[in-house]
Amino acid sequence: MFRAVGVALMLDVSIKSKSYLLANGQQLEVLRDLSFSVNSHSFTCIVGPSGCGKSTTIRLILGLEEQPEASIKLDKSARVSAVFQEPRLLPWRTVRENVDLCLPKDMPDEDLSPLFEVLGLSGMMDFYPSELSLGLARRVALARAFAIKPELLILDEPFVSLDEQTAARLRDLLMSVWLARPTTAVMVTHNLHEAAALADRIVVFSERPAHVIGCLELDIDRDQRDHDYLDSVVSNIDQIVTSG
Amino acid sequence: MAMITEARSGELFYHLGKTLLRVIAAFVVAMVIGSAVGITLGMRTRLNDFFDPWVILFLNIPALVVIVLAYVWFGLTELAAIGAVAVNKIPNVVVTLREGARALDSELAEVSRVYKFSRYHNLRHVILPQLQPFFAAATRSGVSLIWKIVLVVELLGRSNGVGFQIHLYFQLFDVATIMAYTFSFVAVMLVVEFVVLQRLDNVSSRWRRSHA
Repeated sequence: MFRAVGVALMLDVSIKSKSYLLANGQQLEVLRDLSFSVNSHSFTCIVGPSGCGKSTTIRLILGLEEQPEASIKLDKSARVSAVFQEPRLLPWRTVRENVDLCLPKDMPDEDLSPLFEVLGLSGMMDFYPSELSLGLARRVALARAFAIKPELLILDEPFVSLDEQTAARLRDLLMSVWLARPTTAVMVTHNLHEAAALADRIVVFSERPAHVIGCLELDIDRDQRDHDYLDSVVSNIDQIVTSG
Repeated sequence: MAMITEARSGELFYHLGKTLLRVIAAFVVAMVIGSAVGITLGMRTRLNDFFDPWVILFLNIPALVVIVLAYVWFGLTELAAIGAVAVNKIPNVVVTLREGARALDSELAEVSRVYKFSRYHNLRHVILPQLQPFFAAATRSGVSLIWKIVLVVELLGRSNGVGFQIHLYFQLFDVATIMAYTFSFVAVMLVVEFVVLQRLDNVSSRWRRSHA
């Protein structure tokens, strides 16, 4: 697979096969011969038809699924954080406690208020998650993920089931936080425009059992990506999907 | 009237105190052992498959049998008395907390794994808060069950406590004093419920949305 010379490799995924046992006893194969790698300090988006195994891939990377036939090369000591499809906050802890609890013990004390400021959470530190809207809870999940200064940030459709306006606002927030604290990011999304706007690189998955059918490198600065450019990227992905 | 006479002589408070101490001791022992076993069984299916018949067995052994055996095997001691009461209560706690542990949220468990929570953090901030309603249920049913069994234990093999006094006044056919002891202890339990348990409940569920 293509890799720029001199760029450090952060993550190397190679999965021969992954299947689930269904309730009726059948095996459902979700991934087969899937491999891709992620460069350090890049923003990679994974796109593909729904139900093709994108989330499964993410779960394997996070170590939440076991699979002997999958090799995930990731530095064991690397600090990894994740934003899931749902905010997954502890309902009995406040916003502040939810973030503080995730900070590793060996991390030096750092003022997190700029992070909360950017995410618009400053006045809500003592709120419980039930007192937040879904959009705000998602911001807390983002704050939690960035607060630990991850070396690898995993985002599994973090803006799903939000109205487009809120999602767009959160996307901008994600970008500004990410640019301020650049790290290696892997994001799953089914929104091709979202992928085209955020990614350095888009990895396209096939139908189930999923494998990689194409990779797009986007080497234009994000603020120079206009509507026409995004549309051309989206039609490029569509082409890969129909021909793959 | 009988209540006032007993209170004046100091007898009432002495015996109430003795019984209350036994209730507290048995309750603490039963809750600690019962929840540890219950949570473990709830989280490990294999272990549960093995121990499930034992739980059912202990759940159905009559309290009286446990008490008599405890006194026969360990003598008429305080330890045997409290142990017998605790053994009667433990299976109830196990069953309640096991249900709680089965219903634990796997999504939050994944968060705790991804963010590398320590065991202590995981227990204190992820698992125990989810079990809080089950602890509350076990506590409520526990305290009321335990105090009834403590009376039997006292009647059979102790020389003080409300149960001992009831036995004494039963032999004298003094119904008024028996009622006096019964209602005094019920009054103590009401105070425990309203002063201790309900306040704890309010504190531990303050995160729940009030207008939901």
